[in-house]
Amino acid sequence: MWLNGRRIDDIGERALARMRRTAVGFVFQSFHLMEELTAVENVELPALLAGRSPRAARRRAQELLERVGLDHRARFPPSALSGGQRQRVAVARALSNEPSVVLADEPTGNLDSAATLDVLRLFDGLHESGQTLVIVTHDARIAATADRLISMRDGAFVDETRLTGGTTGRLGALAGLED
Amino acid sequence: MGRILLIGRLAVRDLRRRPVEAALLLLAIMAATTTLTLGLVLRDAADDPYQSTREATSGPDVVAVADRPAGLSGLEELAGAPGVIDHSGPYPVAPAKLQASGRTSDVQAVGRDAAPASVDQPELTRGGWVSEGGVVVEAAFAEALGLRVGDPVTLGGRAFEVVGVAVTAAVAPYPQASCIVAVGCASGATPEELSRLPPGLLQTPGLVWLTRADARSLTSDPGSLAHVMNLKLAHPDEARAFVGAHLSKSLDAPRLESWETIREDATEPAEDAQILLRMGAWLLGLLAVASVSVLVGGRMAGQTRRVGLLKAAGGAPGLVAAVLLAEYVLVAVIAAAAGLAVGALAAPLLTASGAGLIGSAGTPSMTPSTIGLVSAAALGIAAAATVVPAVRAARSSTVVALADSARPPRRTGWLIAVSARLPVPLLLALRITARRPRRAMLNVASIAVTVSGVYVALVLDAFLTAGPPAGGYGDAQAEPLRRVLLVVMVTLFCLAAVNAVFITWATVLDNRRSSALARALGATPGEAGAALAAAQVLPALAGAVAGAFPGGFALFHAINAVTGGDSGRATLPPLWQLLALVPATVLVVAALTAVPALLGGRRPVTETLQAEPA
Repeated sequence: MWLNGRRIDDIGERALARMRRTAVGFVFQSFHLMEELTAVENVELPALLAGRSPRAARRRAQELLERVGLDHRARFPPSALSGGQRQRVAVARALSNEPSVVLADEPTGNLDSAATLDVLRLFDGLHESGQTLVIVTHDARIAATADRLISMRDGAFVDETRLTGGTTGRLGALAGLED
Repeated sequence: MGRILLIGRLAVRDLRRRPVEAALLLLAIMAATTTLTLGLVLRDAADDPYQSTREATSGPDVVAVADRPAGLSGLEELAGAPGVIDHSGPYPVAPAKLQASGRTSDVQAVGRDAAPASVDQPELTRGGWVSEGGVVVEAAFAEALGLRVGDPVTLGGRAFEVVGVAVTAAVAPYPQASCIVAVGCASGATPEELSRLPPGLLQTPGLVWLTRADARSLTSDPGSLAHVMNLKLAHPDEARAFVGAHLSKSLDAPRLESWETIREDATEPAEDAQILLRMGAWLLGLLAVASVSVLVGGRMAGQTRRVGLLKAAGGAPGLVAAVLLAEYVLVAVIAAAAGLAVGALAAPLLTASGAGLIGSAGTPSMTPSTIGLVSAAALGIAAAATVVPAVRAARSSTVVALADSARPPRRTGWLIAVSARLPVPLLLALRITARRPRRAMLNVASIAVTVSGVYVALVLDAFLTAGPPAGGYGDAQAEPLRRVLLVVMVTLFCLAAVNAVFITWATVLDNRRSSALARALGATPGEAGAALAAAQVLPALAGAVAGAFPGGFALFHAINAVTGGDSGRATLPPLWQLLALVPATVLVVAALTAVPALLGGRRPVTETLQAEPA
């Protein structure tokens, strides 16, 4: 497995941690937000772990929350947010250290249709701005929104398809979530 | 009946399902009950050697002392007083200085007849009885000075030979001996106190027996001799009343002392050992509450789904609470029984009779009040730690319990804000601490109690090491107390160590998800492990400071207030010892918690995040 020209499947835990800080952002199916932290505190956490100053980390977190449309919910704990809002906070957190790639594991698996659409629109915006996204999904409609589709079965690659020109602006329709 | 059977069966099944936790619970409560048992039975056990000595020496029921020659008539009147059936004396008593092996000690020299007396005939443990030029030394005093039969000694400037060593029940063993000389005595006084007292007082005097002629020869002024008489009463139990009835304000009137008062003096070291054990029992009881709280908290968290199933099957909140409480009550009852058994077996090891008395400590008596008190303490510990989580679990929603939702962590905003400015391990550690403030407080309390115990142990050790006259104890008396102190401190340390490991492991389990998440977001395994360890070290630091400075001082004064001790005679630990105690405690806690914390920090991230609910 390679990332940014470097093999990463044989590196140590410390190097993996450094890589997670700088090169990769994670979005989980079940959000995995810290319940005792507010939305903005959750988003700034990776920056603090990467050694950024508290002021810089907070500024970046607020920018990201604004970008995902949740600046008005920055001081709310996760328990006060809807599923879609929690996942948007998780996406903002994944972007905290400006990673090369965001890995999203079933990011819409726990969401209803409206929230799924919100998250897909957010991903679309990120994609347009040049952010690489790797999304793992069982939902063929979500998979159809990608540029490049790699199918796996029993842990092995079975197929690769390149889908070009057609997703931007029509995500909802492609995913069958809107007319 | 069916309901009780059901509760019992469910409680036993759950205990058998988690045998290690049940054993740890049992050990924590048993440590407290054993120490409490030792404290309670020691008093009775310690009385036996005095009784043996009293029987062997035909000990007096009342000892009368006339400080002046004018008081001799008063002694004669007492010999004929109603209720007195026998007496020995009056014997002359002279104050003197005894020199042996380069050491000088004050002594009270009693002039005795060569013929045996019917009341208070000291029992020889070595050698023979008094003869001209031969001195018999009280056994505890002889041991303190290292005197043996045949040793030469100088008494009042005259050479004598030690011809025997004996015990008596008429005077408490050295250094507790009653004062039977006219000049007065100062036992256990500090050098500062001595400087304020009139000169000529005997300092913690020993007791020796000589012939009457030799005793009289020790002073050039016959008027300075005191006289002592030993009385036997028809009803020994009325000795205190006899003393009260013959009290007089006249300076010439004899001073009286009942055998019960002498026994109290003779068994004072054992009483102090009992105080030490009771103090230890309190400290261990507090630690046991902390241990049991952490264990119960952990078990309750693991029992959420079981509570849901019980409720779903029709169990009312009362039944659920009863099942949860029954488990801990059962453990407490077993711990009380085990503590009583171990305490009763171990008590004789801590109650050596000492050189001044004969006979063994005997079998400690297990009275109903001891059994009741120890059982109540065990149940109290279990109830204090269990009631709140049991009631909380019983009142929880069935649906939530069935879903096995984790208890949400607490949010402490200011701590989260402060932690953002700290290095990663401390940032995570403070947030871990803030998630479970009650557990952090238990951790602080546990360490503070232990360090307070160490503070008191330092004071007592300095007191016991000082020796007479400052400490008031000879080596023979101090040794059993040191043993008791060692037992209490070792048990305290063991329980505190188990507590630290419990709390760390509970923290590791509770923070599996947040540690894994921190690693997914960029923290290294080392940082995650260091954070878990630091989350224990931070409360340990707070507990060590609280225990070393206000805690230990307050505990020492509380013990003095309860026991009526004189804190002025104790030397408080120097500042450097207290300052050293804080980092030493932190280092020990860090070492104890390092392994579980590092193991916790290395759990695979993916597995943990997949297994743990968000």
